[in-house]
Amino acid sequence: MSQFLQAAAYGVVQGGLLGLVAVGFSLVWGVMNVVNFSHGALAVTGAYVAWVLNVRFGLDPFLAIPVVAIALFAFGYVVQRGLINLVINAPIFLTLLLTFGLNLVILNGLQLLFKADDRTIDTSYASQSFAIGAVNVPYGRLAACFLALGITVALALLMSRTRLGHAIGATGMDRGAARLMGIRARHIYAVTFGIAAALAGVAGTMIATVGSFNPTTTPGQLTLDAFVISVLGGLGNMYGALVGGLVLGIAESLGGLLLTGTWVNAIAMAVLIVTLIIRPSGLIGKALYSGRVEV
Amino acid sequence: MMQRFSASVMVAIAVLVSAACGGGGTSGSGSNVTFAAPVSQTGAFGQAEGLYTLQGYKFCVQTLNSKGGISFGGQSHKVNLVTEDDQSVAATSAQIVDQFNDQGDKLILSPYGSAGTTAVAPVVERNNQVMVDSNGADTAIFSHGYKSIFAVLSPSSSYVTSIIDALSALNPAPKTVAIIAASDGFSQHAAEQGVAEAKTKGITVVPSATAYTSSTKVTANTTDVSSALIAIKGTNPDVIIISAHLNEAVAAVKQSSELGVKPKDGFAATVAPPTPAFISALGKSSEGVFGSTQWVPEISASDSVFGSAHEFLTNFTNTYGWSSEQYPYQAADAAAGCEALALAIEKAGSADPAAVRTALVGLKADTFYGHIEFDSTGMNTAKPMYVIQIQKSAFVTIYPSNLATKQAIWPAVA
Repeated sequence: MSQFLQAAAYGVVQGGLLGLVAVGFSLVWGVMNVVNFSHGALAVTGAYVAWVLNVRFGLDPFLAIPVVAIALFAFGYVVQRGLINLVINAPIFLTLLLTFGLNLVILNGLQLLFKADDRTIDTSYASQSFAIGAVNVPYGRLAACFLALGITVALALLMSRTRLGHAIGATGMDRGAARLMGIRARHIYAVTFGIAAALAGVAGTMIATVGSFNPTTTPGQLTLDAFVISVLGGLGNMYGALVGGLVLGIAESLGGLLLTGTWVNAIAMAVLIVTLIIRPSGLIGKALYSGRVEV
Repeated sequence: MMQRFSASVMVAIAVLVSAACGGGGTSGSGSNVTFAAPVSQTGAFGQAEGLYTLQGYKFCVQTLNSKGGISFGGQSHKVNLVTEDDQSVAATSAQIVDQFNDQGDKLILSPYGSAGTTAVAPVVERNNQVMVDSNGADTAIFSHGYKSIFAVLSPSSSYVTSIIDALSALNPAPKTVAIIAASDGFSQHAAEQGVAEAKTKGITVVPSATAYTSSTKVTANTTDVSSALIAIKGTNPDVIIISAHLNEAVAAVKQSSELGVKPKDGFAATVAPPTPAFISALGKSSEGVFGSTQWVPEISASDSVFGSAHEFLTNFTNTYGWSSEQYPYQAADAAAGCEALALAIEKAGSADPAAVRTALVGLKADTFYGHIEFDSTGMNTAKPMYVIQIQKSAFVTIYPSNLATKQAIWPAVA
């Protein structure tokens, strides 16, 4: 029983971290209909920014988060305005190709700058845990989980309570109509991509704090995780990524306990397939987003 | 006049052709010999084990050439090293070796790791190439009756057993161990042999003797081993042994702290601890971790190419900027494999792959790496393995005791 509780607790905090990885990816996909293959590369870029701040200036990764978010927002905004907007009206396969190319450019640049070594942000607390009975809860992943929750709530409030959020939502639903209402779609898209890049950077900072990262294997895994979680949770709902991440984290953790660790990926895919059979729009996604108008 | 002009042109052409062929024009220099190797420069092994292997090959070729190259047929032959990045994908390794064959490259040095070597071996056999394996230790590679694959390193069966032997020599010896094993053939076989060795030493394997095939088995190269650690939690092992590569070993040490899985005496792992990347990835958490290794500089061994084991260490680490206290043993494996191939060519008096193969069958050489001699399957079973412990960010040889430079810190955890 204690093993079950330990696996469940670890799955929850790990799920929160996964949700944090996916929330920006889900936002861009939902609003812009762009499956951003460079999401993992953006996350790892954020991890490197936080790592440099930690190694050079001794800045704690949690204090580095605002710096990482601003830097990645600016980068994302420029990339969207200067590059992705050029093909935003093209078929989705072209944007896939473009973001895949962007992914390669970013990763090769990171390899040139930092080599391919595994890096980690060493803190005195992230790998420690506190015990509740026989269950240990790791501080680092718990903090990442709360961060994911806080960011998701903030994003939901932004989308529902602010003019910017309404503009993002309107552009995602019907770009043509949004333009007729005076919304500058190009700017809104760039802001959306910038927010997603900032969130990816924050997620990367957390990954670097609780685990390790490198520019060769980490980005691909993060993009795959974000893709699966976005589909699982569903698009069009700001809580979709968090819910998808939690479900996936718990399923992988409990599945690894009941079967073996080698079945983790199979379990994740099985959960995804079953969910899509029962709810094609994801756990809490809105079907509207698969049938929206693109002008 | 015309005849003198023609003669001058002929001489000029001869000089140009000679220069173009790389002959060098010096008396006693023969054509170059090419060693070809698919080596991971990107992907899972690209940042550590593959890099070390590549550096070992390069250092070997550089050293051989600085001493005039390989002597046979009354001439000295410089060595060319041709490498291709297999991206840490076994199937790509095999494709690259096929391409080498198409280019006429018959003398192959192995990729890093058992998976790549397993994929390459049948290709080498089919193409009548010959391969010296420097970093693929899975004994399964040698169970197919291959005739052209020769491994200088100790087989996978020695990796966990050497750790068990080292631990059982400590005072007090551990009573229980847990073994986390990656899903690849090398790691599983090493774990299996380790379980058998633990039984002979009176050490109990928890949660069960077969757990490495089920609850404590993890996906190869994963960075999440939480499921295995949760399965171990509650069994309170004295030592956790990780039979795997770098990623899994780093994850196990890191996540054990997160999950409150604290072995009473410490951690041990195959492959990963005696690599600089393990220390850089874990920092202080790497302190006290034991690791089995193919080579240590304390062995009493030397040869005419590299000198003594200590001289190899000094020259290699100076060349590539490693600390002599954090040396990658995989580079020694690679250099030894390359040296064995060169020795076989000299013995055969030819670079013809069939002749080199015959020479490798009967090769008996004492090198900086230790004794190299292949059994009927192509394995170098005569060479022992060693165990180091990370102390103050340095690799300290602690087993066998006659090579130990310091006493093991035991228990290894505070």
